[in-house]
Amino acid sequence: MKITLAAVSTSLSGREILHDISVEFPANRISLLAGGNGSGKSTLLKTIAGLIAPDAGEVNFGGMNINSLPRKEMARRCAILLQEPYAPAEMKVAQLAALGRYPYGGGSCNAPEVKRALEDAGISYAANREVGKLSGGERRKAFLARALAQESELLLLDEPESALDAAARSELLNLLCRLHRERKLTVIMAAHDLDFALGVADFVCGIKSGRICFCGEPETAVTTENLHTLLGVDIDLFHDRRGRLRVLPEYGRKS
Amino acid sequence: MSKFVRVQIFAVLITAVSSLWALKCGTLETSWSEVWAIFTGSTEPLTVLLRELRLGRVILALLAGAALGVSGTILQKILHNDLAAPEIIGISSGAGCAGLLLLFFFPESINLLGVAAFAGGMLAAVTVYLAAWKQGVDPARLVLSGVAISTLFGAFTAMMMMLNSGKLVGIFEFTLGGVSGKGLVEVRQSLPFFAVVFICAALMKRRLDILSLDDSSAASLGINVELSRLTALALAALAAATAVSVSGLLGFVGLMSPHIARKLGSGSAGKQLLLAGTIGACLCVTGEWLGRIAAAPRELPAGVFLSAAGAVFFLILLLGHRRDGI
Repeated sequence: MKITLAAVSTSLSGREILHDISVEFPANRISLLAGGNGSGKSTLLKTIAGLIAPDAGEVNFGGMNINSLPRKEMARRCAILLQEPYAPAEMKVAQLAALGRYPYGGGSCNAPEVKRALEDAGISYAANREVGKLSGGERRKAFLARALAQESELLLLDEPESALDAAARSELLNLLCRLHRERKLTVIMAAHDLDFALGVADFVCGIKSGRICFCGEPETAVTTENLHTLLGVDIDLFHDRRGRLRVLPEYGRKS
Repeated sequence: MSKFVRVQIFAVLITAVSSLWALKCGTLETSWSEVWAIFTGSTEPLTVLLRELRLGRVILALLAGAALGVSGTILQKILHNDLAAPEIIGISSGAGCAGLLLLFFFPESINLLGVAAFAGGMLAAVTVYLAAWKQGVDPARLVLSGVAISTLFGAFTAMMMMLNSGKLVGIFEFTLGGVSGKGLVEVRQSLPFFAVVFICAALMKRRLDILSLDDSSAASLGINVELSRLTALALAALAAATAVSVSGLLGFVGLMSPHIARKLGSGSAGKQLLLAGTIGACLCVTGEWLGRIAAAPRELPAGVFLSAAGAVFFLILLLGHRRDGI
C-alpha cells in the first residue's frame, strides 16, 4: 500500500509543526524517517495514522483519502507504536496485545493472532506478567505486540529501538525483514539511530523543522552533506565488509 | 481454577455471609430459622416485616455498594488515576447536593430523590467535563476540575445545612450515608437504574480497557476517544447518583473497591468491574451490619464505618505511593 502525503501542514496547540509536506512512501517497503529532536517525525507519523488531522493537504492510503475511512477500518489498515505509550500497570501483557484485535471485534488473549504477535515481538514468555513489572525494553516489546496484533498493512514505528539492548535491536530488525518478506508489510519508522535503521531501510526521508530535507533510496539520498544539513553534526559514511552502508556520527571528538 | 476466579468466589462468599448476618442482626432479635423464612415465602407478620424492611435494606446496600465500585472502576480506568472516585471528583457531592436541596425545600417530593440525585450527579459530571475542556479533555485536567467542582458542591452543601439547621433531623443520615428507613419499595424503584448501570458497564468493558491506554494509542485502535470517555463518565455518574439516591453519601466505597480489586489481580476492565462491584457490595453490607450491632439497640449509619475504614485505607494508599516514590 503506497502512502502519499500531498501538501500536508499540521499544527499542535496552535503552532505549525509540519509545513507543506509532500512525499510518497513506497508500498511494501521499509521507510526510514530521519531527523533531529523536534523535527516533526512523530507528528508526521501521527498525521499518517490519522491521530492528528492536518490543517491542509491530504494523506492517501493506496489512493484513498484517510478521512474517508471509518475509524475501525483505519485501525485495520494502520497500526502505530508510539514513542511513549501508556498502559495501566496492572494490565497483563497478553491483555494489552489482545487489544490489537479490537478493530476486528475480537479480543481474546488466546486468539492465534495475539499469540503470534507475542511470539513475533519476542515477549510471549511474559504474556501473563503485568505491564508495570516489565523492564523498559520488555514494555517496548509488549506495545509492539499490541501493534502487530492489529495485522495491518501499514506499520508505523516511532523510535522502536529506544530502550532495546543490542540483541533486542537485532531481533527487531530481523522481525521487520521477516514481516516485510512474508506479509508484504509497509513500514514507516522514525529512528534516531540511523546506523540501526539503515540496516533494513529501502527508502529514507530526512525531515528538519517540519520540512522535507531529502528523500530517496539510501545509497543515493544518504550522503555526508545531507546528513550534516539534517543533523548539524559531521557523520562518517562507509560500507562495511558485508557491503552495508554504515553511519558513524563524530560525537565530541577531541582534536 | 485461575487466581481471579478463586478471589471472586471468595469475595462472593464473604458478601453472602455478611448479608446473612445483616439480615439476622438488628433492633429486633431474630433466629436463623426466622432469617431462613424470609426466603421461603412465609406470610408470618414477623417474616413479612423482615422481608419488606431488613431484606430491602440489605439488597439496597448490596446494589449501592456494587454501583459505587463500578463507578470508581470506570473513573480510574478513563482518568488513568488510582485516586479517582465518584466521591473525589465531584459526582457524589453533586448528587448529594441536589438530594439535600430536595429534602430541604421540597420534602413532600421525597419520592423524586433518585431523580434529583441523578440530575445533580450528571450536572456535576458535565460541569467537570466542560471545565476540563481545552481542545479535548486530558485525564489529569479532568481530575483537577473534578476536585474543584467537588469542593464547590461541598461548600454549597455546608451552606445549605447551616442556613437550614432547624431541618437537619432525618437529613443528617443522608449526608453520612446509609440505608436505614428504606425497604423493598426503594429496591423496586431503583432496580431498573441499577440494571442499566450494570448492563452498560458490562457492554463497555473492552472500550474501558482501550480508554485506559494513552489517548493516541486508544484512537489508533479505532475508537472515538472523546465520545467514549464522555459516555463512560456519564455511566459513572449514573452509577454513583443511583447509589446516592438510595444510600446517601457513602464515602470511600468508590475509591476502595477498585483498588482492592486491582491489588487482587484483576487486570482487565471486565474482571475489575466484577470484582470491584462485589467488593463494593461487601463493604456496604458489612457497614450496614456493623451499624446495627456496634451501638445496639441504637443504629448507626453504615457511612460512619465506611468513612472510618476509607480514611485509614486512603492513608495506607498514600504511604504506599510514597514508598513507591510516586
